[in-house]
Amino acid sequence: MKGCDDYCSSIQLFLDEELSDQDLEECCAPLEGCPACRKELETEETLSHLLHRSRQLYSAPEALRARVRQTMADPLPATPHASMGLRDRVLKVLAQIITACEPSRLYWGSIGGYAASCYWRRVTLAAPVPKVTGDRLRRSGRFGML
Amino acid sequence: MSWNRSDTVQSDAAGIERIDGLYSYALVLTRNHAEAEDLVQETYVRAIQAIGRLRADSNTKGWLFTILRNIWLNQLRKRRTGPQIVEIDAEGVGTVDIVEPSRDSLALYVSKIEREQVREAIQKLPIEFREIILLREYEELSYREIASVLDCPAGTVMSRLARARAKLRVLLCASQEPDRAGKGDTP
Repeated sequence: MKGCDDYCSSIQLFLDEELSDQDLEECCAPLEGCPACRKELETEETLSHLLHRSRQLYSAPEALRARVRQTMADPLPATPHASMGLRDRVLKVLAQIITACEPSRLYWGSIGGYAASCYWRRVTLAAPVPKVTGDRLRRSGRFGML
Repeated sequence: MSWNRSDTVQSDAAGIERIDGLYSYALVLTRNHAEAEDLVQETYVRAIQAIGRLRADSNTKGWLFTILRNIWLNQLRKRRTGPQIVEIDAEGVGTVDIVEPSRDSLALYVSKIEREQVREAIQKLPIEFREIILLREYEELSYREIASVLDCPAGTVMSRLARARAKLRVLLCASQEPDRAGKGDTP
């Protein structure tokens, strides 16, 4: 046999419409005759009504709304990409390490120069970093060794 | 690729109409307007990237809230510190002040005060209570959907929600006490 405490814990489920049909019957029956259960129900209902009246909690600013609409209209590519922060860090490290190598090593020196220029463009001009591919490097004519 | 692959207009509308709920959730999590805005925008970016993997019968609403929460958790992990608590301005940007012509000004005023009290009380709750109150009371997610967003058992949702409501009730009563005291003083 269930006591008041059990019914009281079911009251929230009742208000949240989370009770099954059978549980609903079991919960509703004592509510009729038990003042303590009715009081508990009223208390919960009061809070629930107050929260419902205060809907909605916050409204998104118009600027954010516009940005999101823009994002939805012109989204980024679906394929996962490394974050720009990570790209910057990799390019920076590449630029530092490789440019420190012997200048006579044209191949590494050029890659270092390229990484450095990419990094420089990213941090100063916020320009997009072109993808480094062998094909692109060959076309640019800077990498005779490739 | 776009947000919607199949039914364009409906998906766009469904996506953007969640923005207030997502922003509220982000604000409840971060308690900071700028962070909340970034969180919401990032949520949409991730959602657009992943929309192709979403099944047709999936719960888009819960999915969006899950994405937002995961981004926030990742940000917290990166910072390796606890959540930065920045109090929201009393007259914060983005608050809802809907003018309803059918109501008189006193009712509007009372409604506004009441909403402010509720907001303040919610923001005083611990984070696990704040988010569960928002997901249930404002977003009306079911216990199962909340369990999915929070990645916890449904039983935990029930008990946490009960404790959150109890705590919120205490805070709201406390916030209304000065009003009552004030009214009692007046002759």
